[in-house]
Amino acid sequence: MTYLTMAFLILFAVLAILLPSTLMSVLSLAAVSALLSIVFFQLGAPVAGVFELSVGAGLITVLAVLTISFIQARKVKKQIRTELWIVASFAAAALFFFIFNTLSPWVSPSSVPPVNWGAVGEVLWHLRAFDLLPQALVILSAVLGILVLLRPEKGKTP
Amino acid sequence: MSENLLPFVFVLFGLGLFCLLTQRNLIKLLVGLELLGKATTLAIVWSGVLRNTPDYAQSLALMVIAIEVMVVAIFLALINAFHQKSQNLDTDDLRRLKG
Amino acid sequence: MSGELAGWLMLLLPYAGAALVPLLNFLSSRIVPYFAVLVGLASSVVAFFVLGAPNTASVSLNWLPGVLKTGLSLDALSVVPALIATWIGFLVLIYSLGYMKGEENLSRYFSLTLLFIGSMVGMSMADNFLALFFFWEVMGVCSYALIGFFYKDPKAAAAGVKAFLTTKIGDVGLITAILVLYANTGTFAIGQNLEMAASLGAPILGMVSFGFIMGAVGKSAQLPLHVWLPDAMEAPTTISALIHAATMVNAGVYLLARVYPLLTQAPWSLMLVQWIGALTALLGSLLATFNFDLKRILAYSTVSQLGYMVMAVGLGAVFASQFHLFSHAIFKALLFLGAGAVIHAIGTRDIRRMGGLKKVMPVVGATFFVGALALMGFPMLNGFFSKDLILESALVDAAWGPLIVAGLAALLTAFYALRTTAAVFWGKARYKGHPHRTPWVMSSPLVLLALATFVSWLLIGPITAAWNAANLAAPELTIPELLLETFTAPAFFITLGVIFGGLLLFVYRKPIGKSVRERMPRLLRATSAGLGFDAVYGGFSRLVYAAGGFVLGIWDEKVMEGINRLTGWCSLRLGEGSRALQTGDIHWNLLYIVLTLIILLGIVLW
Repeated sequence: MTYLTMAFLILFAVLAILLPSTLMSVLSLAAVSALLSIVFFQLGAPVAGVFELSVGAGLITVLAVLTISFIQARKVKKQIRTELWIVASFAAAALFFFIFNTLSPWVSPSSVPPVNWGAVGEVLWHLRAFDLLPQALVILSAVLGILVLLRPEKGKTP
Repeated sequence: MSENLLPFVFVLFGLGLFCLLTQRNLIKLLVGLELLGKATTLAIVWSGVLRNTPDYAQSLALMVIAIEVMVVAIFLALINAFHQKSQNLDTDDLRRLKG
Repeated sequence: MSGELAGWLMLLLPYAGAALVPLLNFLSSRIVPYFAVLVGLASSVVAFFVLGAPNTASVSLNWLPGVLKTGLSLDALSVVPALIATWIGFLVLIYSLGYMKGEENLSRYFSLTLLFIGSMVGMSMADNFLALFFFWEVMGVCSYALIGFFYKDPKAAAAGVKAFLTTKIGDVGLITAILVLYANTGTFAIGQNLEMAASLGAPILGMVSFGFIMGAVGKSAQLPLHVWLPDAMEAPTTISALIHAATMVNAGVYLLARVYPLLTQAPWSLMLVQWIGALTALLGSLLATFNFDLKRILAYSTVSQLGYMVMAVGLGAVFASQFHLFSHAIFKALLFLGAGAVIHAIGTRDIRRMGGLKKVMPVVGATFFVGALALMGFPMLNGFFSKDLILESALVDAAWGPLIVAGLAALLTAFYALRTTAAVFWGKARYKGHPHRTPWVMSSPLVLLALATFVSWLLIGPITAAWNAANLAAPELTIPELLLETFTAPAFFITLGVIFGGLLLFVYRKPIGKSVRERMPRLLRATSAGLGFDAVYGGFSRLVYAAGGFVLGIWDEKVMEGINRLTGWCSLRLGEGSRALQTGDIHWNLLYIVLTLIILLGIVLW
C-alpha cells in the first residue's frame, strides 16, 4: 500500500520537474506534498502528516501561486541547458541512488508503531525544548529577510 | 509491514538534485529545493519507524518542515526582488558573482 | 680589615667605579677624572690590607649551589699582579688627569680603565678557571675599546680590532684547555685541577698544555701572535703604560706560572715555552733596534721582556719570571709615561724629530734614563736582579740554546735602550716649536716610579717568604743572600758583558749604522715591515673575508631570492587557476555542493 503511494509520489515529482509551465509545476508539487502526508499517516506518524499537509500542500502552494501571479512568469523559457549537462546530471543522480542504495541494508520495520497524539507534544515541549530557540530565530530572520527583500525601489510605489 | 522505503528516499533526493542542476527557471529551482526537503522529512520519519520511536522522529520532522517553509518564503521574496529589477528569471543572466 | 674582605673590595671597588662613572657624567663631566682617581686611591689603600692575608687564603661563594662556585685565592702568586694593577693603575689615573685633559668622551676612558683594573685583579685572584676566563675576556674587550679610543682615526680602530682578533686566537686555545680539563676532572677549580693533573693521560695533558700555551702566547704577544702589540700603540699612552706594559700582557705569563705544575707533566711543553720565550726576546729587541717610532720601540721592548719571562717559566724558574714581571711593570710603565710626556709636549712620535729635550724637560729626561738603565739590567736597579735570576736559571739548567739567544737579545736591549734615550733627550735639539713644561700631575708619578726601580728589589725577602709559605717553589732569599748570590754567579759576568757590549755598540753607533745601511739595506726594510708577520696575517684574514662574502652572496642572491620568487609565482598561479571555478552560474555552485556532499558522505560512511 505504501509502495503505491510512493510510486505516485515519484511520478508527480518527475512531472513537477519536467512540466514547462511554472504554475503546473507548483501544483504538481502540492500533489507531492499531499501524497507524502498520506505516507506519513500510513507509517504511523500522524502529527507529521498533518503538518506536512497543511504546510506543504497548503502554505507553500499558496505562497508560490501568489508570487507567480504577481510576477506573471507563467512560462518557462524554452532554451534548455545543453543535453550533455542533462545527461550528466541524470547520470550523477542515478549513480547517487545506486551507490547509497547498495550501501544501505535492507531493513523493514517489524510493525507500524501505535499512534499517540499527545506524546509528540510532550517530546516537543519538554525533551527538545531547546530546539524551539533556533526555530524562533529562523522564523525571525525569515520575516526580516522578506521585509527587506520586498522593499519598494526608491521612488516607486509598492 | 515488510516494506523498505529507503530507496525511495534516495530517488526523491536524486530527483531534487537533478532538478537543481538542470533547470534554469528560478521557480523550478524552488521545486528542486522542496523535493530535497521532502526527501529529508521522509527519511527522518522512516528512521523513527525503524527504531520504534515515532514521537521523537516526528518532532524532528516538524522542525525540518518549519525550516523548509522559511526557505520557501525567502526564496519567493528573492524571486520578487529579482523580478522587480529586471523582468527576467533566468539563471543564465544572474551572473554578478562571476570571479 | 681582613685580608679576604680586602680582596673582594679590591675587585669590587673598580667595578663599582666603572659603573658609576657614566652616571656621574650625566651630572657633571668635570668631576669624572677626579672621581676615577679617588676610586683608584681607595683600591690602592685597600690593596695594602691584602698583604696581611694568610698565604693560603681562599674565600668561596656558592653562587648556584652545586653548579657555580667561585672565590678568590689570595696566595703570593695571585696577589702580585693584582697589586701591580691597582698601584700602577692608580699612578696612571693620576697621570691621566694631565695627559687626557681636554679630550672628549673622558667618561668612556675612565670607565673602561677602572673596569680594566678590576678585571686584572679578578683574573689574578680567581680560584677557578671559569672566572679566570671571564675576566680574561673582559680585559680583552677593554683593551680593544681603549686601543680604539680615538675611534675616528681609522688606524686606531683597525689596531683595536687587530688586537682583539689576535688575542682571540689564543683565547680559543685557552677555553679548549679549560673545557677539556673540566670534562676530565669535573671541576673548574684551579687548585683541584692542578692536583689531579698527574692522573690525566699524556694526550689530554698535551692538548691542555698546548691550549694554555696558546692563550698565553696570544695575550702576552709572543711569537707568532706578537703582531698586535706594536699596532696597539695607537692607544693613548697612559693606556699603553697600564695595559701593555704593566698589567694585561702579564696575564699570559701569570697563566703559565699558575698552571706550571700541569706543564711539568708534559716536558715537551716546557721546551716549547722556553724557545718561544727566547726567540720572542730576540725578535722584539731586533725590531726595536731598527725602529724610529718611540712608542713602537717601547712596544717591541715589551714583547722582548715578556719573552724573557716566558722563557723563565719554561726553564722552571717561576719565581724569577714573576719577579721580573714585577720589576718590568715598574720600569716599563715609567718608560711609557715618560714617552707620553714627551709626545704630549712635542706632538710627534718620531725620534728623529726629537733631541736635546733634557734641557726643557729635566725631570722626564732623568727618570726616563733611570728606566732605560733598569731595562738594560744595570746593577743595583731592579731590572738587574730579576734579569740575572733568569739568566742564572738558564745556566743552571744548561739550556745553551735559549741562553745564547737570550744573551743576544740582552745585548741588543742594552743598545737600543741607550740609543733611544740619547735620541730623545741628549745631543742636539732637532725638534721644532716650543715644547711646554710637564705639569706636576704628570711628572710626579714618573718620580715615584723611578724611585721604585731603585728599591723594589729590596722586597725580595718578604716576597720569597710569602712564596714559600704558599708552597710555591721559590728560593729562600733575603737581601744579603740575594746580593751574594747575584754577584758571585756566572750570570753576573754575562750581564756585565752584555752591558759593556751594548755600550760599545752605542758609542760606535754611527759607523755601524752606516755600514748596515749600505751593506744590508734589505735587513732595514724587512725589520721596518715587522719581518713579514703582518703581511701574512693580513693576507690570510682578507682571504677569509673574501671567501665568506662570496658564499654569503650566493646564499642571499640565489637561494633566498629564489625561494621568494618561487612562493610568489606559486600563489599567483594558484589564484589564476581557481578563478576558472567561479563561473557565476548558480548551477555550477550547486554542482560543487553536491560533489562535496558526496565526498563527505563517503568519508563518513567508510
